[in-house]
Amino acid sequence: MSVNYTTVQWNRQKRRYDRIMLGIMALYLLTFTLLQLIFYPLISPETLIIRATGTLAFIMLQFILCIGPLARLDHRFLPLLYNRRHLGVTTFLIGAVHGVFNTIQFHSLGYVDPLFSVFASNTHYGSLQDFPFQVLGFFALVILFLMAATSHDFWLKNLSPRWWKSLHMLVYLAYGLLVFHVMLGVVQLEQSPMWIGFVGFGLLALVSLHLMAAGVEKKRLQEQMDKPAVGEGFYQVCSAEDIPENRAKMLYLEGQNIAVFRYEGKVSAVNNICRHQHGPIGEGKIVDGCITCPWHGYQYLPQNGQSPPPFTEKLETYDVKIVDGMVWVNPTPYPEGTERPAAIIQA
Amino acid sequence: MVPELRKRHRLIWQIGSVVILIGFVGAIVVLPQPVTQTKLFRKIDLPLPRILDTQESEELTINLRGDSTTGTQLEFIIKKPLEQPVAKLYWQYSFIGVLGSKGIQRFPVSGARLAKAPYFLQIVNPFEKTGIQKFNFNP
Repeated sequence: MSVNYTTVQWNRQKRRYDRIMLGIMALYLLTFTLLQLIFYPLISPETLIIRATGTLAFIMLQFILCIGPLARLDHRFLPLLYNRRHLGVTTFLIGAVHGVFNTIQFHSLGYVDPLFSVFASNTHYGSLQDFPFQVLGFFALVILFLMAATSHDFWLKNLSPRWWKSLHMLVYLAYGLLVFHVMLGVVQLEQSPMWIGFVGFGLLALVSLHLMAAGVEKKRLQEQMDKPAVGEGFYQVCSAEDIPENRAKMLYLEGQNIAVFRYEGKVSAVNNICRHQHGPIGEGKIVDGCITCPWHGYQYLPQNGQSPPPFTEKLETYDVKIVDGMVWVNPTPYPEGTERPAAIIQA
Repeated sequence: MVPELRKRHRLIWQIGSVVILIGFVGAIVVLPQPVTQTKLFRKIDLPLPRILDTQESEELTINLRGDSTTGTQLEFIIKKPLEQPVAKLYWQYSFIGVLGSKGIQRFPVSGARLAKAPYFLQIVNPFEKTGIQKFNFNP
């Protein structure tokens, strides 16, 4: 979180995340290069770079798209979400190297502009087998570029979270384009079962994870919407013991997305949507007395929903009470940053 | 994430997964089949199993080989080089090939030229256009 725009808000976790990411990438490139030199000893450096960066970028994108549903299904994957942005920008850079080398190798030796050649050298747009697959890769790269270029909080603030999120959801389109880029490209050229397995396994895993996470989320939402309100607009939501210390239970009541946190023998409720990127506050935990969003570490005080000074983000708050060990929540929101007394858990 | 956004994610993946999977399977269906080359000529290197007739000269042993299914061939075993480096072969007055100076050579002869025995083979000097040797086969 920040009050001013800076290029990258480095901290210990981000540095560690990036070091691990770069280490794994280097290991992959080294292993891939060695295998290529063993199996294709006459391979040219350009072809090696094209193959290595193409496969790496595809694997990275696949991994990035798995992080969201994995974190929703199992909270142990939440740390992967924290610096996913750097992973995304790096994926674009690797993909760009692949694209540039391809354009140079296959389109720069003729009389026409290399970029024009990408679109015009193969015009079998009506054929699935001979489809100009490089065009698909080009458009996927354009989407990844737009995402990388607008990944900074400056763009999030100025585009508004709604538009920013919509733009970044184009990553699913980019993934689809890349699946076809590989299936209509290298798979048609080499007909290798290895490539089909490589894409097929990833696709199956990704689709399964997203559909599973969506199903779990839908079920949870449905259960909460069915709860009846009892007296003064309060809903009985769970036992206080059901909420782990410094963690939250997420609710969806009367259109309100609420996170009820338990901490230091108390319970407080705030809006569940982070002001930064609409992340799920309730999937985070309380660190140093502050609710900490699992996505990018934005923090709020549980009793009033305010970010600690000098930060200015604020969340709506809700009334909470505990009767006979059961937590009750009134989903009528108070204005952002309004202090509400926490409910005390009786020993 | 707001419920509206979750719903959009769910919809995107429900529709997207179907579209991508259809495309994935479609790309496999249109995979080019391995190219196989149809043999236009019968392999003549191998001798046919049965010798139907044999003619001898000082330089050559000539076998008329064949069987009922694969056809007929002439097999030249050059015992001693001919005076000419190459010689033209005429079977029933039709050109069937050029004979080299050493080794074993085989030439297929088609059914049209086997209509009625005896068969006539002439070895011709291509430069002087004169017959070198003549043979009659009567299998």
